Amino acid sequence: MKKLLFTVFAVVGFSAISVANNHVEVEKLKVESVVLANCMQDQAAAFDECMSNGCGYWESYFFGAGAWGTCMRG
Amino acid sequence: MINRLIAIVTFFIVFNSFAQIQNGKIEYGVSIEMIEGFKGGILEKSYTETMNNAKYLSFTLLFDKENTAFYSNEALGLGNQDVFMSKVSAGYMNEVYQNKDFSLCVVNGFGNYLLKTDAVKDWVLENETKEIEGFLCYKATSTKKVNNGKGNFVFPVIAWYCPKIPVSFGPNGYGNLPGLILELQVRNVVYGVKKIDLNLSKPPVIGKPKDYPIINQEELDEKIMTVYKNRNSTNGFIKPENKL
Repeated sequence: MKKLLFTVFAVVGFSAISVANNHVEVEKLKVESVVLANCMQDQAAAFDECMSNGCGYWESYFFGAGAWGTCMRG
Repeated sequence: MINRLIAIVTFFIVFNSFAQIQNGKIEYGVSIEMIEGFKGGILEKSYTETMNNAKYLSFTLLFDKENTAFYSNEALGLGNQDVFMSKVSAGYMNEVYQNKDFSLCVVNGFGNYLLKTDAVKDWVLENETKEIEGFLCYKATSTKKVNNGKGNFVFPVIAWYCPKIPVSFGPNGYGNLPGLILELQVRNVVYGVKKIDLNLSKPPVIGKPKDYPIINQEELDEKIMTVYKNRNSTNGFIKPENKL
C-alpha cells in the first residue's frame, strides 16, 4: 500500500513539475516575442524622430539601430 | 641704396618661403550641440551621449598642393564602439579623399563604395574675420540641404578659411575656398583645428581610395533604405556587410 501511494505521489509530483516547467517556457517565449516586437517599434520610432529633425538616412539608420540595441539589452 | 635692396630681397625670400606651403598635417577636434527637436524625445539620451563622447574624437587632414586625405584618429580613452555614434553625428562616415572638384568618401557599410560629393560651389565670402591658432581667417557661408522624405531641410554651413594657407581643402570633404578651412560648422557640428604642421620634413603619404564603385548620395540613401526596410523582428539591426 505504501509503495502504491509513493508511486502515485511521485507520478503526480513529476507531472506537476513538468507542467510547471512547460508553463514557464511558454511564458518566456511570450515575453521574448513581445520584446522583439517592441524593439522594432523603438527602432522605427528613433529612425523617424531623427528623420523628422532633418537627419540624413545614414544618421537615422544608426540611431534606429542604437535604439534597437538598447531595447534588446533591456 | 644697397641696404634697401637687401631689405627688399630679404622680404621677398621670407614672404615666398611662408607663402609656398607645399604640404601639411592638420588635426581637428569636433564638438556637437543638442538638436532642439530631440529635447524631450526618445533620442535625447542617446544624443547626449553622442555629444559627450565627441570630445574624444580627433581627425587628421593630410594635404599637398593637389590632394588631401581626411581620416579619424584612434579615440583615446574610449573604444570605437563608444565613439561610433559621435562620428555618425559629426557627418563622418569614413576616410575622405578630396581634390579641387570633388571628394570621395569610403563607405564600408551597406556594401563597399566610394561616395562622390561635388565641391561646394555657392560659398558666400564674408568680410568678417577671426584669428585661429595665430592665423587670420575669413568667414564663408553656405547651406546644407537634406531631403529625406520627411521634408526639405536647409541648414547653415559656416567655414573659417585661412588665405595664408592657400589650399582649397578642409575637414570632411569641405573646401573650394581660397584657403584652408580651419573651422567648419555644419548645422550643430563644429570641426575646429587643434594642431597645424606645415611643410613637413617628410611629405605626407596621402594614398588613394580603394577601387570601389562610385555612387552618389541618392544611391547610398536608397541602399540604406533597402537594408532598413528588410530588417525583421529577430534581427532588427542587420549588419549591412552581411546583407549586401
